[in-house]
Amino acid sequence: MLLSLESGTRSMHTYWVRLNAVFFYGLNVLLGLAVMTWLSCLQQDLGFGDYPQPVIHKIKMNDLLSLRSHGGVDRALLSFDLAADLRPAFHWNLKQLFVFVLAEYESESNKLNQVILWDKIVETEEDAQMATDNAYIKYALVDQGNELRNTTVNLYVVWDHMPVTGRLFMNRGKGSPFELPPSYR
Amino acid sequence: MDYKGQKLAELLYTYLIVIFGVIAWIFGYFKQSFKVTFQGWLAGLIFCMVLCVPDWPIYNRNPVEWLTEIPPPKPKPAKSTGEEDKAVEKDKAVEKKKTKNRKR
Repeated sequence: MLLSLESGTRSMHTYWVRLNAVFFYGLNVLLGLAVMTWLSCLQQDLGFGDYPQPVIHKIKMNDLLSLRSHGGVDRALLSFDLAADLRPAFHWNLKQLFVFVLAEYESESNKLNQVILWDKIVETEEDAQMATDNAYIKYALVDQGNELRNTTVNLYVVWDHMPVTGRLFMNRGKGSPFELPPSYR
Repeated sequence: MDYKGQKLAELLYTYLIVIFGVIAWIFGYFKQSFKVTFQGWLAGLIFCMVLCVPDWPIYNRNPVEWLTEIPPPKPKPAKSTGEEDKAVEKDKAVEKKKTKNRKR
């Protein structure tokens, strides 16, 4: 008893050295486990083999509510139809999906314009099956200038995979084009 | 903790954390939940901290053998102490008195 007490006081610093060693070695092991987890889902993420893949059944402009000049810039408000089944994206390394509707168009000033019109965070597999008709956009389709009239806009559904561990990556469905009218309304 | 004890502690946590982690990963894979894997890993880590950080008696079974003590060198011959000085002074005083008496 006396001996162990004595050796304890004499080598006090070795507690911290060992605690440090155990903890950081443990973190390295956790990194290894994280990499293994990422690898275990890689095949599904990349779509090799016969894994089912997320499907966008429908994305379509439904109704154009307005197209106006708003303080010098063009702004369009619209509604859309959306039907998608993103359940196949889920596995044990996926924390959530960030789903959004993206409008892409070419204008005279810019080769590519991208505007997010609507978004949703999907946390569970049940929520990954989506079907909404005539949903209004959350964020207006605002141009950088006044070049929205007479433009062809493509609507896309894009989903951002947010994993527990590993890289973030996006996928998108097929685009659905629509024409904006040649005059304000 | 002696040297062999240190080696043993290191060996224990190196293997135990990996074993805990791999088992936890397999459980997590079949439950399809990374939380299970993480909790298993955490349990292993805490277990290894309890097992390998404190100075348990099993790590002190091979104490370091020290050399036998070297005897200290013999003390030098003693110098004069204060007592002696005082005695000398007393003698001198006595001698002065004597000379004074003679002069008278």
